[in-house]
Amino acid sequence: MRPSAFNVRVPLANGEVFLMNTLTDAQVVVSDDVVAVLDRLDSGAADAHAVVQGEREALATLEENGFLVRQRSSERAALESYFAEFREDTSQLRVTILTTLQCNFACDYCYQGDHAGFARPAERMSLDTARQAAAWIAKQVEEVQPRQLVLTFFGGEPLLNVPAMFEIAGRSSKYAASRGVTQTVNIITNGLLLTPEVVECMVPLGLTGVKVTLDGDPETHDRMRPLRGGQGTFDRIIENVRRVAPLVPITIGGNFDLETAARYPALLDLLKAQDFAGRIVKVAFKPIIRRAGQERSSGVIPLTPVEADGRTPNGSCVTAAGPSTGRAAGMARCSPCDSCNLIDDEIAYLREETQRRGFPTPDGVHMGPCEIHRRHSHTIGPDGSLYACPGFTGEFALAVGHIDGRCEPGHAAAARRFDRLAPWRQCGDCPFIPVCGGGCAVAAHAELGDMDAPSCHRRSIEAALTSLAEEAVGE
Amino acid sequence: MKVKVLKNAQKAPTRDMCPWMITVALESVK
Repeated sequence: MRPSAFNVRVPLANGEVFLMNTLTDAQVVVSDDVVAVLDRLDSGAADAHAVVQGEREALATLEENGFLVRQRSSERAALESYFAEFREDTSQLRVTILTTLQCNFACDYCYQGDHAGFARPAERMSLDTARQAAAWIAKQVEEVQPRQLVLTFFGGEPLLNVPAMFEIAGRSSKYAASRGVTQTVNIITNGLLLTPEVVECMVPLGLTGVKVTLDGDPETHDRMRPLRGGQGTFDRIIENVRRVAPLVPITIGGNFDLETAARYPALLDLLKAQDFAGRIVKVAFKPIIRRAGQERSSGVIPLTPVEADGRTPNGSCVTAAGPSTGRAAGMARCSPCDSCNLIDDEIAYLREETQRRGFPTPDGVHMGPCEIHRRHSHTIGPDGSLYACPGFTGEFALAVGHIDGRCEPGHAAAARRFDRLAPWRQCGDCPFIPVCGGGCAVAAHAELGDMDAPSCHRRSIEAALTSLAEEAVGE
Repeated sequence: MKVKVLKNAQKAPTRDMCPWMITVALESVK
């Protein structure tokens, strides 16, 4: 009997120790003498048969919850089984649909390519393509036979193409109902065009969540996320959220850099004071990562060199899909961790500020495996191209297929490449592999030019584990 | 020898759709 390779521990102020097993997700608090026994077993100084009677009961509980294993070698197989089960899970069919890459905002940090300085017209899904998308989804439902169909509408700004959203959600809803499948729908929006009318039409089609982005207090948000004409958007978004909040649960997302992170507590206080505060089911902040050489005032972290060759960027909305979205070709190589420790610290600070005000927020430990590792998770671009995840949308060389069934050169190769994706195999004996999965493939692709490489944020996960432990034991 | 269980082992822990980036939680779609 040996301690699991996936045990992580946090010493508590009272001398006890919080233990978590990242493979089983079990969490326990143990006294220091239990830790001493685990260390003896780990070093080989004792085996489970040599423990005294009083220890046996404690060890049995630990074994039951995966903290002790028969053989370390079998754990590696268990890890691969865990990823395989996750990959082949058919309980949910998840489809993210980018109905347009157009946007009515001109976010300070956006490199997506649909506002001033980027002349290329952004793509928009036609109604014909929307119908084809619905038919493709129906075919997937037939093949996979999931219990739940989860649609996420995303962009660009998805509410700039409401007809396509209605078309897909309406047709899929009917088909899912006819097969006894529950359809749920999410919309990720900048909130400007969010109205009770849109929500009232979507709720019968399964709408259960709307995510809106706010980038700090009103002044900061209006500077970061103005309209294309430069006007502020904060007040209108808050008013729109107030009007729809009785109809649908709200998630607040936010993007920060070192300059604006300090403005988030003011936003949290403002949200807490709203009459719709109780309808906010989650608040989640993400760092803005700027491309190398991108002009910006001081305090900004130039982490992700996107489009270093000057080509017009494209792809899913960086607001929600993350700052690392972009193409790797021509990028200068850099380590994503050159400066991300600073970001990791800011994330920890904002998580604590969010929790202090009573808003649910991601715990920062359970970071994976993400959707890209699920076989039955798909992304449909505005033209009907299929992608492994929204972060790769618009990068045609990495499209894995098309909803019309065409097989273009590269589709099969790209699909195989994503099928084989397993960055965690390069993570050595890191105990966080089950809750990380090797990190974000889009980030690895954009920052390292290699989607197969791990994108490591272990420091952030370790900091989050400390918070999780404190919360779990009520400290 | 104290072992206090706060959370038992789970077969399939809940995961966010895209915890790194999109952060649409499964909880919000249930």
